[in-house]
Amino acid sequence: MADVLHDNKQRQRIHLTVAALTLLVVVMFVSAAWLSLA
Amino acid sequence: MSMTFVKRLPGVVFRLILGSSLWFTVPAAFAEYGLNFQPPVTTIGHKLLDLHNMVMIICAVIFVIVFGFMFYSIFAHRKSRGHKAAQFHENTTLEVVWTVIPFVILVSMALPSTATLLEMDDTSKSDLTVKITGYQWKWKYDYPDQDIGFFSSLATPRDQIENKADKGEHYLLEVDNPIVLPVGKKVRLLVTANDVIHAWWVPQLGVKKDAIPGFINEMWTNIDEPGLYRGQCAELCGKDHGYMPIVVQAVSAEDFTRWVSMQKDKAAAESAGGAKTWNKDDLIEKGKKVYASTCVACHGVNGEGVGPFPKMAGSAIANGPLDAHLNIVMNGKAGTAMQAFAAQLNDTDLAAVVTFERNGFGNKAGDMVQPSQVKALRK
Amino acid sequence: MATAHHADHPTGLSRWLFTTNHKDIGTLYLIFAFVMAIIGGLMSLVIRSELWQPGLQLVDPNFFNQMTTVHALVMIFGFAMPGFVGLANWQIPMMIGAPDMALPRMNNWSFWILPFAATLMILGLFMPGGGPAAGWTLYPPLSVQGGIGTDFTLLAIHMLGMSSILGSINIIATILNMRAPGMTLMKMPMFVWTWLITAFLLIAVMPVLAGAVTMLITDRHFGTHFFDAGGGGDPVLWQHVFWFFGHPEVYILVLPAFGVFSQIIPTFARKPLFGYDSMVFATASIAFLSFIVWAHHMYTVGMPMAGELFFMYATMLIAVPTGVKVFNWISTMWRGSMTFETPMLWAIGGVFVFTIGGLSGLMLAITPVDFQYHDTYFVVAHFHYVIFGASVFGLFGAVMYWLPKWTGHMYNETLGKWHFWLTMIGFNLTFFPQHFLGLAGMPRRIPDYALQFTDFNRWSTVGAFMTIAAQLIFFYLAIRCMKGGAKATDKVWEGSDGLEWTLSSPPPYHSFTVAPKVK
Repeated sequence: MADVLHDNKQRQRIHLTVAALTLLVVVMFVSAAWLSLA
Repeated sequence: MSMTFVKRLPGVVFRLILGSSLWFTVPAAFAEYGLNFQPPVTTIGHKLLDLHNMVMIICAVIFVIVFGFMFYSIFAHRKSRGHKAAQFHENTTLEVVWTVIPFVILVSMALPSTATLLEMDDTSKSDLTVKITGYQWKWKYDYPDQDIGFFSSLATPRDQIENKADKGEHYLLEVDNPIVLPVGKKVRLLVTANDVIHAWWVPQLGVKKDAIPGFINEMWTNIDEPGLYRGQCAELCGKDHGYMPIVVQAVSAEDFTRWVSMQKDKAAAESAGGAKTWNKDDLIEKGKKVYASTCVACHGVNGEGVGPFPKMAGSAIANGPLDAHLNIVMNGKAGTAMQAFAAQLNDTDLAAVVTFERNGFGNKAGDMVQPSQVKALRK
Repeated sequence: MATAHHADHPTGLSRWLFTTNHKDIGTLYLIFAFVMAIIGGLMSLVIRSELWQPGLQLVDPNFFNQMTTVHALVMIFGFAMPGFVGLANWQIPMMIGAPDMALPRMNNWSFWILPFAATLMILGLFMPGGGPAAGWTLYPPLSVQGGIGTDFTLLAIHMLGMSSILGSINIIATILNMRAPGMTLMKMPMFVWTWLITAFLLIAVMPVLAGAVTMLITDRHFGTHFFDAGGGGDPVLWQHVFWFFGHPEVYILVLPAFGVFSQIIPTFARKPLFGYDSMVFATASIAFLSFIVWAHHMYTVGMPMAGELFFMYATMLIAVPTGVKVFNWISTMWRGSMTFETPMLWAIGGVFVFTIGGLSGLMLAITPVDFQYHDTYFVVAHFHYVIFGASVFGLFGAVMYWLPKWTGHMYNETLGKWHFWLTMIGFNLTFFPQHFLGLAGMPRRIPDYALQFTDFNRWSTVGAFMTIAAQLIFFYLAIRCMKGGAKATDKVWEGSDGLEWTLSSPPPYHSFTVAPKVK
């Protein structure tokens, strides 16, 4: 099956985007928890 | 269709839309048809109606203008009429104009709104304080300075709700004990709850506030004229959220004073009743009334139980040891909706309702309970 | 490098279970969404049937409360959100000239969580004590009282949230990294822009809902007192955390629909979208403002004046960028050369219905009068106008607009128009009278009402049955279109513009394996 991505630079950028967004998710969850516990 | 008709149709339709929208914006016509707020009886109530009418008219005018353009375009700028598409697709001036003008309109609405809100917030210099507590599913009114208090429950008979009897005029909007307030006096209302969040709302007074367990909210009202004003609980509070109405009975200051002393006498008589020895029939008769206002919602008209709530007819508790029966009625059952009624009912009512339950619904426990027994059980 | 031929276009059950193809996954989301719409729609008929007349005729109040609660949860989390994710999956890669989503396998996961989450939620209704009955807003302490059915729903919400978060990460990663060369951000179609912004909203607020739901679970079962005053907590804490999620959530529901309107209207006006830059900016403004207005759902809770005033002003402000969008759509129509095929009817109808809801929203924003509207049918009318007007009309418009592209067949235009008009009339019949019910004093979430509310409730019930019945036409015409119909061209519509219309109808299973040129 043809690879969807051939470009390593594009793969890296995608992984970086995913990491940053996952961090954002964690930050939002932790903020909600921390503010509620305060 | 003739060209003339087609040419004039947009204008006709436009005028129809304009006309009908204006009709919809004649709010005074509405109250009678149930299309607008109920007639207010307080200054704040009047201000809210005026604010509402103003905002509604502004919204209606915006609607007519905006959709006037849209419907005109639908008629005039269609391919079937041969209209050719222009290709313009931006205009910065226009974007600025239709950003600034709405902003200005909003400011004009925000100013009177702010003033009214601040006025509603000022509970100072009140003449009377009443504490309102929301329960599942009734209200309690306490007058701390007058040292009286009572519950207010739905008075509509179960038969009407279950479609076995014709519904009365004030179906679902009637109570056994209305909250009585004097007219022309600033009344400070403290609002809280016993179990879950409720909300106390009387449209004609123009007041609504959430009743939150563990917290006390404050609001005020000053009623212009005597009368009966009806409202409902305005926050989902469980099964009978729709069955805990509010009735405000506004009376003259003299009538209010008279009513307060009547309430005090009644309270004294009830405690005296707690001291005397009752016969069984009297207990059962009184207990029947207590059951009908306090227990029927969960345990059923014939003690048959309702939904997840247990039946009383032939139940182990109602036919078993008296201690256990008294305990569960007085102290409730943790983790369930069965409340601790020791806090809500006086000795006589508790004695009466337990006697009724043990002798009614086909139950054969046979015993009876004296108010003094209940009093002894209280810590 | 050998390419295994069988993997190019799989068939059968394992195709649908294991697919990583954005078109297949889009189809799965859409089918799921419309099945959930049927379930939610049936619940609304239970509600409206009980409300046909005063008195309790059909259900007991506890079950009625379960119906209102689960109806909302199913429609929001089961119908609207998955529906738009389905559209995103089908359309975004094609519109930006990408071969697929950035993370195709995670895409499959994001979908397959949903049927399990939905089953868990519906199963709660059959547990002892029934399903959750505290409203979709689940305010404690009432929601702490519910039985195990509530816990089923809380866990389902966690699963649904996870699906949305994963899906949104995928969407952002795709849009930011896989646009064809030459497609700058300011050249993207509006549907892609609105989804980019929506995905950020989702990532920001779904974790907050997860936090709130977790605290509710621990209050219910693990001895915490977050929302219990007796234990030092505060029921109002829930409301703040929930609505911090809840308000952006409603924009999550409507922004993709706005994107759909921005695709459809220019096509059928044969004229470019008016004010593209302003539309992008307005969407971003709406998204930003949506974070700072949440307490307008809580005006009667007893907030300090400063809070009440701030939230009133911020909420009123949202009217400005929203109005800008409406004006831009109308300006797109203005002096165009319009035809009114079914998608255009949905788009124009949607703008009309949504705007009515927007105006009642402006009324609700004004704190002092909101004291009279709050928790009445005026609110119910408002949110159905905005959500139905935008999300539902947007979904139907999008499906009609893109079905020919997806299937290669034209749908039956007569049936499409019947579906639109019956839904439009039925919807307005159902919800317009509810404005008056609220003004006249009818609270929401009640199974029974005082006599003076009877007439408008009757109109509303008639409208509800009409609206639900009209959907049978949609299912018939959609299934028929998938099976066959007049052949659709690549362009399908005379005025369409965009990369997806350069592909065949239906498009190849793998499209844009080579990036297209974007001018």
